[in-house]
Amino acid sequence: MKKLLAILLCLVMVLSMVACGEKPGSSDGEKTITIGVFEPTSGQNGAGGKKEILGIQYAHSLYPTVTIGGEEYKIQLTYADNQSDSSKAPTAAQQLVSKGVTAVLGTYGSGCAIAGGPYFEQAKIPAIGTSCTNPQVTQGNDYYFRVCFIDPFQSVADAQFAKKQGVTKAAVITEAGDDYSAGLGAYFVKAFKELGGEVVEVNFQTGETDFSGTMASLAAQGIGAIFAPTSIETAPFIIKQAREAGIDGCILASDTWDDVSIIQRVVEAGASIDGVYFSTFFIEGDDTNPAANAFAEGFKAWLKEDSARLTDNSNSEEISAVTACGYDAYMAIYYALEKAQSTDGATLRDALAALDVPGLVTGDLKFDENGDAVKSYAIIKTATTEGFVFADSVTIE
Amino acid sequence: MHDFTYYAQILISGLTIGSLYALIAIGYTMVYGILRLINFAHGDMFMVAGFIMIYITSWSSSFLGAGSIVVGLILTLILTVILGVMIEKVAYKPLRSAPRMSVMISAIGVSYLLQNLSTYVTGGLAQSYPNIPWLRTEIQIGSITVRRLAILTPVLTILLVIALVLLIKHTKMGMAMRAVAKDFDTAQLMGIRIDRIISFTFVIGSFLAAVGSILYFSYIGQVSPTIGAMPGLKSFVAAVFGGIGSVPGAVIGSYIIGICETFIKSNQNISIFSNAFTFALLIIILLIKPNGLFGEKLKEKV
Repeated sequence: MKKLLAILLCLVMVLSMVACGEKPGSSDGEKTITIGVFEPTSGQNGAGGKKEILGIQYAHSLYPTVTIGGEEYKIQLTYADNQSDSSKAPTAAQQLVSKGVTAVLGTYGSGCAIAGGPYFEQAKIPAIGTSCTNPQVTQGNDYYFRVCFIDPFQSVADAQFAKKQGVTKAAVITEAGDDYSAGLGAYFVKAFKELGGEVVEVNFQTGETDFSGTMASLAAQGIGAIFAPTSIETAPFIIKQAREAGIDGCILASDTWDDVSIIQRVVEAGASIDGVYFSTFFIEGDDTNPAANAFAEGFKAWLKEDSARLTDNSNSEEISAVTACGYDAYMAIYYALEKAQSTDGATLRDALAALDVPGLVTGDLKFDENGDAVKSYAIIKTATTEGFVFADSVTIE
Repeated sequence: MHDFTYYAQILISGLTIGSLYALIAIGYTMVYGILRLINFAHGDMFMVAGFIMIYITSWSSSFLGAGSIVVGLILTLILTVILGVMIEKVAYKPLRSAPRMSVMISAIGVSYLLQNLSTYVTGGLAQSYPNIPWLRTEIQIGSITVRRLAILTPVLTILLVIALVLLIKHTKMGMAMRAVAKDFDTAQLMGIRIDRIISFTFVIGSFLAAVGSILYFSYIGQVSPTIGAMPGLKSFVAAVFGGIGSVPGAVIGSYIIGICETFIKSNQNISIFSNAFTFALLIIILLIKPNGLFGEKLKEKV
């Protein structure tokens, strides 16, 4: 009996290995280009990763092929989950490298991008960051580009917004050891102090769920606002527990919070979502940006075609800014492929660096010498029980 | 610098957190007392109990409406107990005569199995815990405003612990449990049905974990597949701190850790060290008093 079981288990394992082996290339003469999607679909930022993938998939559905040298190439997407964890990101990056992808799109969360970046650079695979905003992602890495703005820019926008709201004393709550959170916190502190504000800094460990002690102490210090650049999973704890501790001021955050699941969870927990603001890349219904409106319309129709897509979008039709970033990242590599007329990594990189396409969903597409998208404004959104609405737009020279 | 209300508020938070640790720690300590096994899957069972509640309430709310919460609570308790006993039967019982290390590795395996299975089934993202409005109502005690949950948690925990201690001290089942904890083989020779006692221990441990999970997730509001790890680990530290194998020790250890942690977190200069404190405490207690505060002296049998 036991032997039989052992043999059966062995068979299952062998079979699953066989199932894993993918057929390399296609034999019917059709040419393909594989693009790696380096995104978290689980962990702290899984909800955001899934929304970026939706943007990438939508763009892929519109532009499934590219013509290089007179021949039509089919674009294929292959996925690797970095689990929102910078210690697991290298494995996911290596997976994509070993699959021989032409380019990489992603990721949500700067920590994972920083951890995975060197592997792409070494393999000479151009990577296009979607919403990883920490400066270190592209610094010293010739092959990493990004379509979003960077943290020093974003923090200044947040600090200016806080000032405009009449806040004089703010608490900055950041996650220790997280490049994204700590970086944003530090830039905000600097910017807010330059504007004449006072700052109280607090750190917490990854996975923290109880902020009641912290919030009680902050409430007693009479702070007027909280700046909390944290993961999606931590956001509801901060909002709910701050309100329970009697902190009435505005709660400010960064682009990660552009996720409806935060509203859903705060409201379901019976807390108020009012007074939550964050800086982000994109807003639906911006009349000055026709590309954004066309994208929003097309994307919503596409979203409704398949219930699995709706599930990945937190069962909502709200379009996250990160979805727009995913779309733009795909378009960047698409234009670069067209321009380079080659799938060679180094040629593709140079084509990306020289790219200048106006009027994409999150603004014009042009990279500076670091590989960062050139942006001039950030959008501030605020949360309501119905969804996120436009609050302000901050332009920075 | 701060007034009385401020410290009282923090103390109440600390008591709540401490009680939640206590409910999990009892499960660790009882299983250790009887089987000499550190049941690493305990923290994850706590997480699974959270998901069970979410799924049952969302499934039954379509035809039960507000009553779905009650059904959810009852079924969560029952299903978690069944899960706990099943884990024991499948993963630990076949290894009863194996070296202790093998059982422990089996426990670690179950822990990962539960985590990965819930990642697979739930999609890996955090989900909202059903809101129990009654627990959220604010009440006023003197100058302090607290939610009912913050008061109910310590009270319920203490009542459960008293009931448990009475059960262990004054019932036949309790006597059998004490006998098994003292000497496994002799107890068996005296006609105690070991398997029944062990199953019963898992019933109690799982029941308390389920109660803890209901209170904990109502407190924090959401469940994700890896959320059981940290409270599980801290409760384990609390159990070791109080003397593993001792129920009152685990409870007192939990309260000390819960209260200290909350006070550390309320000071922003040292708040980052709250976890470090807990684990430093574990090292110190192991160095100074390896058996914990109330641990019995273990004589290694030759």
